[in-house]
Amino acid sequence: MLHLMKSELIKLRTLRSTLTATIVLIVFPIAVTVLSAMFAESPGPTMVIEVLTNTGTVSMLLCGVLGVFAIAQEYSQGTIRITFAATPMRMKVFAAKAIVISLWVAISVAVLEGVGLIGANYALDSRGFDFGVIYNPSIFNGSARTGDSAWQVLFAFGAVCILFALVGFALGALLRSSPGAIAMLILVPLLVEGIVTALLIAAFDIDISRKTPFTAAVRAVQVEPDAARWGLVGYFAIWCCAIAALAAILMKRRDA
Amino acid sequence: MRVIHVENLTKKFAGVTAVDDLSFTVSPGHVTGFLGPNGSGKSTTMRCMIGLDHAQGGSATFDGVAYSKLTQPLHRVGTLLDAGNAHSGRTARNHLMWLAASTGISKLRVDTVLEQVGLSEVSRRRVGKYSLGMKQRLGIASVLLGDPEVLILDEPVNGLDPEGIRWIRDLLRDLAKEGRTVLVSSHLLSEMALIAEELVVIGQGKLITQCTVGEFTARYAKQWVRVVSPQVQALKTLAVAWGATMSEENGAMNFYGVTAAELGELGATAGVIFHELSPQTGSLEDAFLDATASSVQYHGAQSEGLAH
Repeated sequence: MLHLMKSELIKLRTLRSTLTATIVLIVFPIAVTVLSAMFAESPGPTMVIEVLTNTGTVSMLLCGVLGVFAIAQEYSQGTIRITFAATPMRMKVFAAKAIVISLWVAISVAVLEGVGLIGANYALDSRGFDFGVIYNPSIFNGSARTGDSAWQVLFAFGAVCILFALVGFALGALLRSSPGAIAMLILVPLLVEGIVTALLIAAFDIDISRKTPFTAAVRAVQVEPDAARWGLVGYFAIWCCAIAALAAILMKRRDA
Repeated sequence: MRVIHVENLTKKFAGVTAVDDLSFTVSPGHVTGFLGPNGSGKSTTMRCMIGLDHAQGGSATFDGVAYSKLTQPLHRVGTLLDAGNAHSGRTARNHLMWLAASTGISKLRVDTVLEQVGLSEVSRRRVGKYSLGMKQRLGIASVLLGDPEVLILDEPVNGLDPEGIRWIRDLLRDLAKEGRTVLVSSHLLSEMALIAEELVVIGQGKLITQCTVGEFTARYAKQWVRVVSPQVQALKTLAVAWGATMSEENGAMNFYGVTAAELGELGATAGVIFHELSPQTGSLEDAFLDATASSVQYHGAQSEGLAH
């Protein structure tokens, strides 16, 4: 398994598309957060965390795109045949890919959050604001209702990014096409869930807005979530696991 | 782990039978050619053999073991199904690096095979910049990476220049001489005649024959006797009475349905002088076309038809 994971890591780090997506997903939220800390009129810990996670929505989607790349490009470029010829046990390949892309995203998000907070802290310090969240998380009273600390928000953000990568990976394995999987990954959270919800309310007076998975993922990383944060993460995780299970079964059964 | 057994292999796509109850054996020590017209099921058979496509029936085993049950199959069976199966954005070296890492093969071996296939100097160039011939060489490098006992190659000479074709011909012969099992499909029949000693010929997914190249041409290629003689008219009369047919070609007469010995004896009875009396056999290409005539799925237009 370690050999396979090493092989998958080489695949990820030797493509420009993967590296570019990774750099953007790290740099974009950091840049916006630090700029906000530098120029906002009344900055504070809550604002920094909000900006970081809100702009991080782009990073979530990019994590999903990375997940798509990890598998769909193998199908489009034909390398999946070499991969399966080298390792006929396809479930091992599936697991190795899922683990490596999860670790890749986890490290990327850790860098994003760490550098973003340090950068924001430095910017605030230079302006004379005391911002001690990275030294003392209890200073942050992000959620008056839940009492979550900053770390809860940041951990939830990391978990959701990893889940986005996994669901992107599963969609890539299901559709075996990067454009198709990326389109689905972007359109479902941004458009489809909202349209379906609105249609169901209009036609049958049924409100599923609190049950749509991608919306739940975005709600989970709000500073003030409208439901239990980890319950929302768990709900999204169940959906991701279901899609991943379907992808794994089909990967095993289909011709390569 | 050297003998390949394919037994009753059957593969259907949406009701269309691509491989139909196919059975053959490939032995070590020589190159076995895998022949068949376009769409005859050669590539599908190879994909089924290594488990990429799931067969509906039958089996393919390597010394009795299915490919999916092999531990570290790169060390046992090297396969080249399509030279284009490499990411165009990755360098050749990195392509081999991830493949090697998946089975714990060292970086040193990657450099060795790159040297062997002549790609060392361009190994850090992206595969997308490679010519088809260079991609073929990269594909061969991936086959050799695990130093396997069995090699399965689908159209390995496609896109290679004459030097490359000669290189792969010598390479495959040398690998077979070392006692490895080599199964090669190719449309270049003249090339196959030079590389292969044994043939597996299929048409519409079914086995047509498995035999040596000599047996195949003897069985399927036309045989005739070429004669050059100042008294050919007298010989023609005798041959017609014997039941032979004939055709003229560049000042010589070709006789069909009679052996050179029989024709010589017939001529001797009438005092015919022979300047040439030689038995002729059609090429492997002729034999192949004759053997698979009823199995060809895709026909080109006749040149006469194109002219109009």
